[in-house]
This record gives sequence, C-alpha cells and structure tokens, in this order.
Amino acid sequence: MKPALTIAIVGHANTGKTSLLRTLLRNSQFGDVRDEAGTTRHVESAAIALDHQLQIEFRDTPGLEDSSALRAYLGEIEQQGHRSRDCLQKSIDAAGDTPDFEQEIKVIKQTLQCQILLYVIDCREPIFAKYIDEIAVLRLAAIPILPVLNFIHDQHSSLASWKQKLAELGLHALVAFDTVAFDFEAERRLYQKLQTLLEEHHSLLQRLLDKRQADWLQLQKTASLRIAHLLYDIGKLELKLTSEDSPGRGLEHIQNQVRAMEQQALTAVLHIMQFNEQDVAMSQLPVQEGNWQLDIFSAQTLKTLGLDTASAAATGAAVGVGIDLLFAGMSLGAATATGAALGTAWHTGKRFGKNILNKLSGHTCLRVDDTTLDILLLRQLWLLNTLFHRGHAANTQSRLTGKPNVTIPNDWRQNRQTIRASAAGWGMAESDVVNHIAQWISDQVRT
Amino acid sequence: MVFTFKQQRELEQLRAVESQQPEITFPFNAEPRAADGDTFEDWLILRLQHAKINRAVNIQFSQPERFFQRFQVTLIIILMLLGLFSTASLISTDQQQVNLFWLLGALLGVNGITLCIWLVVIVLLNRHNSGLLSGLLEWVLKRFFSHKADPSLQQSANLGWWQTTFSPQLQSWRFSFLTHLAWLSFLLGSMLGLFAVFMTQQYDFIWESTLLNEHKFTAIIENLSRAIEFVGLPPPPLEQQAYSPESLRQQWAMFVFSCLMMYALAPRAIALLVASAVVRVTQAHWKLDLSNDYYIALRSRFNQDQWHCKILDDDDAEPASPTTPNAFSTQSIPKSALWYGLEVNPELAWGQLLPRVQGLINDRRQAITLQTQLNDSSEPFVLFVEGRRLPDRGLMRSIKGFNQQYLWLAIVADDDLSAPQQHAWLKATQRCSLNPQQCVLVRTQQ
Repeated sequence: MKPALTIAIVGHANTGKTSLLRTLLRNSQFGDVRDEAGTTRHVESAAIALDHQLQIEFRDTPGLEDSSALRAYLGEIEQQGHRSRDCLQKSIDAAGDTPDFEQEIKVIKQTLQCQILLYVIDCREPIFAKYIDEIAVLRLAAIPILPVLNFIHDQHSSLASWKQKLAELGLHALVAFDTVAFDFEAERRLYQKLQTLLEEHHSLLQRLLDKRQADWLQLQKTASLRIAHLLYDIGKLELKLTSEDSPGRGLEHIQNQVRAMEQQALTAVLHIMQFNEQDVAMSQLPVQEGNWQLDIFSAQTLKTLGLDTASAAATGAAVGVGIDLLFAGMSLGAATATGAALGTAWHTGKRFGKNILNKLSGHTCLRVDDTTLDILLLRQLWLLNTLFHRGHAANTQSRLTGKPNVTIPNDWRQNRQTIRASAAGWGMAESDVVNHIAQWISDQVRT
Repeated sequence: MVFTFKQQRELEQLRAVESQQPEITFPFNAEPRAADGDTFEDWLILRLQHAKINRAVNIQFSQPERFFQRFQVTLIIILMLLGLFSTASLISTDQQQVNLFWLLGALLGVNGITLCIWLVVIVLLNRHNSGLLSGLLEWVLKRFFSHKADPSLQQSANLGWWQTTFSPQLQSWRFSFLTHLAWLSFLLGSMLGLFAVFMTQQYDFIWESTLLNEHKFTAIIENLSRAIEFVGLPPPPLEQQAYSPESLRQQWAMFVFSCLMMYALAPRAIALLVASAVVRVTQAHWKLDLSNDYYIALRSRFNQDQWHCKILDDDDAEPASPTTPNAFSTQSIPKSALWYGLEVNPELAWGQLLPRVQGLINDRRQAITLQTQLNDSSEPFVLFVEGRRLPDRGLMRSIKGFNQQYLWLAIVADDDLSAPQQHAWLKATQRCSLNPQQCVLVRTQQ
C-alpha cells in the first residue's frame, strides 16, 4: 500500500542526505556513509507506520553530481516547449540517451513521485553556481522544497550566506539541522516546517511528531532509569569480610564488581540510544569499542573528571571500609521526630543491627565510598550528555576535551544520601529511590 | 497498550527463561516481527503469545500459578483441621465445663495480638518489604533457582513467577493475605469444632482465674457484649455464671459464637479483604521494569524494525574494477605554469597562498571560456582544487575538458588529507585519465 506522504531527500553528493535519514531514524546502519562522492547510488526508502498503516515514507536519493550540465540539458528540453514537470518527465523518457546523468535521472524520478523535497545543504560549502543550478532543476518538479542546512556547528559553516542566498531564491522556509551534533528541537522544527509546507498532511505530520517526541522521551527516561539502577546497585554494594579474609583481595573483588556493573550499564545505555560499540569508539570519550578506558579507581580518572584529587587520596582506593556513622544522627533524629518509640527502635535496629552483629562477630564490611559514586555519576552524566547530542550519522571523533562538559550538581549529595539510606534498609523503598534518581538525572541532562 | 498483571508476570517469566536460555523460546517458530504501527508493548505481547505456542513453554509458565493455588487450598485445609482439633485443648472434656476466660483468651486474645502486630508493621511502618519473610523468600529463590548454573526451563519460569508475584511492592500485602487466610481458616475450624462439641455435649460455662476476680469478669463480659448487642445479638446472662440451667447454657454458647464472629472472624475477614484489595490495586499499578537490560536489548531490536527500509531504485551499473590508485606525483610543477582555481572557496586569498594564481573557475560558463583559451596554448598550466572537497562528476567533466597534455592538477590542502580523501582524489585523476606524473599534492603556505 502506498504511504500517504512521501518525502524525498535530495541534494549534492556528500552533503549528508543519508546522514540526515540515519539521524532521523536513529539508525547508524541505514545506507552507506563514506568520505567519497556518490556513495549512495540507489534510492532507498524508510517508511513508518502510524495507526497500523504505513503513512510516511522518506526516500534517500543519490547525490546530484553534475547539476550544471543537467540544467543545460534540461534547458534544451525546455526549448522544445516542455515546461516544468513535463520537462523532467521528458528527461526520464530520454534517459537511455544520456548515460552520464544516470544518477541524476534517479533523483528526477523521485521528485515526480514525492510530495516534498528535503534539500540538504552542506553549510561548509561556498555557494557555487552548481548549487544554484541544482535548486533550479529541483524547482521544475513544482513541489515544495525545504532546505535542510547541515553541518551548522562546523567552524567553516557559512550559515548566514546560505540563508541569504536561499531567501534571494524565494526559499524562506528552511531548517538548520546538524546530522552529527544532534538536537531534538531541530528535529521538531523540521517536522513543523513540513507541516507548514504541507497543510493537507498537517495532522499526519503532527502524529509523527508526537510519536517521535514520545519515543525520544521514552529513550531518555529508560537511559536515566538504567543509570539510576547502576548508582543504586553500587550504592548498596557491600562485601563482608571475616578477620581471616585478606582486605586487599576483598577490595579487589568489590572494585571488579563495580567495574563490571558500570560496563554493563554502558552497554545497555548504548543499546537504548541505538548506538553500538563502534559508534562510541569514534569519540574521545574515555570509551573505546564499548569499554571505558579510564579506570574508575585510578587517580587519572579523578584528574580527568576535574574532581578533588586530595579527597580521593584520603579515601585511598576509593572504597570506604567499615561502619560509617554519618547516618547515625540522621536515623535517630528522624525517628525521634516522629515521636514513635517503636519506630525509633525499629529504625535503629534495622540500621545498626547488622553493623553491631558484624562488630560482635569480628566482620568488616566493605562498601563503595562517596567519591566513587560521584565519579560514577559524573561519567554517566557525561556519557548521556554526549549520546543525547550525537547524531546517528556521526562517523568522526566527537571533539571532546579532557574535562567533561558536566559538573556534579549541588543537590547530588542529598540524592546520594537517599540512595545510602534506602540501601541500608531504612529509607524510601528501592523502586521509589530509583525512580526519583532517574527523574533527577533526566532533569540534569540537557537535551 | 496497558499490560495486565498476568501479562507482565508472564513477560517476566519469559525474561527469566530467555536470560538463561535465549534459544529455548522460539525453537520451532521464528520470533515474530512487530506489525505496522505496533508499540514496543504490543510487540512484547506478540512475542509472548508466540513463545506460548510452544506447548512446553505454555504449560511450564502456568505451572507456578497452579502450584500456588494448590498451596493456598492446602493451607486452608490444614489450618481448618488444626483449628478443629485445637478445640479439644480449649475445653475440659472430662468435667463437662468450659472455662470462658481460657476459651476467649486463647481464641480472641492470640488472634487480637497478631492482628495488632500486623497493623503496626503494615500501617505504621509502611514498608514495602516484609522483613524476615522477605529475606526468607529471597533466600529460597536464590537457593533453588538463581544459583543454578544451568536451570531448566521450568526453574527459570518458576523464578520469574515468584519474583514477580512477591516483588517488593507486593510482598508485604501478599504475605498479609496469606497470613489472614491462614488465621481465618484456623478460626473457622475452631468454630466448627466448638459447634460440633456443643452440639453433642452439654457444658457448663465457668470463670476460673486466680488473679482476675468476678468484678473483672463482669467488666470484660460487659465490654464484649456492647458490640454484640449493637448488632442485635442477645447479651449473655451475666447474673447466672456457672452451673446454669439449660437455657442459660445455650445463651452462653451463643455468646461464645458471637464473640468469635465479632472479635475474631470479622476483623480477620476485613483484614483479608483489605489485603486482597490492596494486592489487586497494587497489581493493577504494577509496572514492568523496562530499564532492565533484557528489555533494553529487545527495545533496541524493535526500534531498528520500526522503520521499513527497502531499496526502490537499485544501482545497476557495473561495479568499478578494483584498481589500486596511484600515489601522488612528487615532481615539481613548472615554475612558469599559470594557476587556475577550480571550484575553490572564493573568499580565500589564493594569491597569497599559491604562486601565479590567474583566476577562479566556479561555474560552467567560466570553465568553457577557459578551456577554449588554454586548449589553444602549448604552455603548461595548473588547475588547483581544494583537497578537502571531494571530487564529483561535474568537476571531473570540467577537468576532462582541458588539454591533458599541458594540464597539471594540484590538490591543495592546508593540512594533511585523510586517507579516504586522498583515495577519492587519486581515483578521480584516474577517471579523468590524467597523467599521474602531473598530479601533485600541494600544502598551502600558512
């Protein structure tokens, strides 16, 4: 069944047409993206169903590589009295006579089959005559053209010049959409501009927009929830040692557990965001091929993350040992405030019963300390911030410097205490804490 | 789509199974694809239904539920029997006397104390997990399911079922329900036992206590009578306590039954209903943890399939022969050669960067004019292009239009070109049939 709306993605070779679709689809496997002109030599479609019917189809087309010669050729056809779409149709009919335009004819066919063209522009390019020729050729299709300005964040970008030139050509509706540095707002604007240009498909595009918005929120929520689980699980991690156990071995064991849990979370977050290990290998995150490169327990990590190395030295191997009395006052204080003697006894017993038993039986309890939790949080916020703004077309290194673009928020300490309290068994229930932390993480990540 | 609790529990069973043996659920039929417009939740249910087509999976998924139902029935029967047989210890059969204090104390007192403890724990402390029992359950699950290196399909399905049915949100109320059910069965059994005994034997009701005198007895009975009278049941004949005539015996027996119903069965039944209602409400609000790695992996697969991708107009051109491109020439460009920029950024001061720059060719008309001009000359000339801008067919057509004999191609870059960029330009020089000796890589002077 034919979709209700078909959108062709057209433009010069290597401007990022396939990349645009990869980013819109959140699929880094779609098509072929290479540093070579004419990578896409076929027309590939991606359709999405709404209300159980295929409704909207995007079509990726080969790049227009020789538009100046094509324009001249179409000019000759126009001189024979064929105008607009008829002219384009004639060029298709005569395709056998013009083998040089094989790729361009594929694009022309799509312009006649689709309802709108997304014309992708590489903003780093000067405005050469060949691009003006491309627009002139596409205009013959007599359907709306929405220019999509790509690579707007590049230092060589000449966004203003392009905007001015497009305005001179009467193309006032345009959208800035960087396929590498992703921004969901830009995606929303793209659909809104399509709505403006395609009034008859307004409600259909609104449904698509709503779906994409819901999917995006779901994605953020799931990623945040996964990180919250990680923080909670590591916050409650403990290892009981008897007097005969080697503390060094216990320390190593718990550190390995933390590393493994963080690694699992990383893989999961990459899956959630529809990236794979290779995608992250391209960036300068301390992750290579799906593995964190900086060890969570190394001083170098603390330095890289801009954390206080003096405090880290004080905490030794970044794993706290034994009974921390931090919660003692809080626990009793909170219980007393309720005025319930029974409550006090219950809370105190629950909180300290285990520790007192450990003390009496000569056991030591190893727990992950606060600095380690801070590092984990910072790394995860950094990761989320990067992935939420990484387009699925990105195949080059993200330009991240050594220090993360996030800092530990002020209210984290309180959340950390909430995790500790719940993990110790006297605070909020686990599911409530995890949901609360997930919401908090979601709020911290700028999207 | 909103899941029912039963669906979610089965999904968790499927998760437990697939986490251990990913290949086991779809051995005969392929994993289903989501239908057009299906949500992730729709697809999860579709997968579940397909998995249950396998009869073994279907049976083993429903087995824990059947086991749990049988367990509850067994619990009811055992506790009723216990209640029934406990009657013997509540009354003194040899003297045909019933000590009211002992009877009410044993049946109402113990029941009342446990009910109060339950209320304090569940309401005042309002905790999701139920302490000792929760710990015990966790230990049992770990002992019998989690720690098995190679659990069977049944064990995994059981684990998924128990973990969901007794998940932290449900644990305390589920245990409450079972506790009240057990107590109610016991009390019903006791009541039946008393009924049977009172039907077949004649007893006198006495008050025997060393510490509590008759006044206390009267006060207790009066207090107990208030609620009984309130609901319209007859009060006990307080003035005739012991060795009563037959009619008074019946009144005392009715009083015992009324007390049992009012102060034991009714509160237990209410507590059971409350626990049952809370379990149902909690189940209705129970949410599958879709941030679990298993569901994340599934969602990732689902998202990939959400878009239907296909090739509409394939490339039917012959694949290019895999020739190894030549390296760029290291020969020097003749000093006398004139330089022309081809599709280069007009905003850059090329004259300062390169020698003898004559002009920039940035459209088709300029290119044709220059071709006419240079093709009549026998002097070497240089076409320079920007290396970072990849060659397209239009550019190659322009290059081909020039006299190849005197043409030098300079690929200009202010930095090192990447391997793919160099490769693209070397391929372009081949396609334009340029003399490899006359294609050079030039670094601009910064």
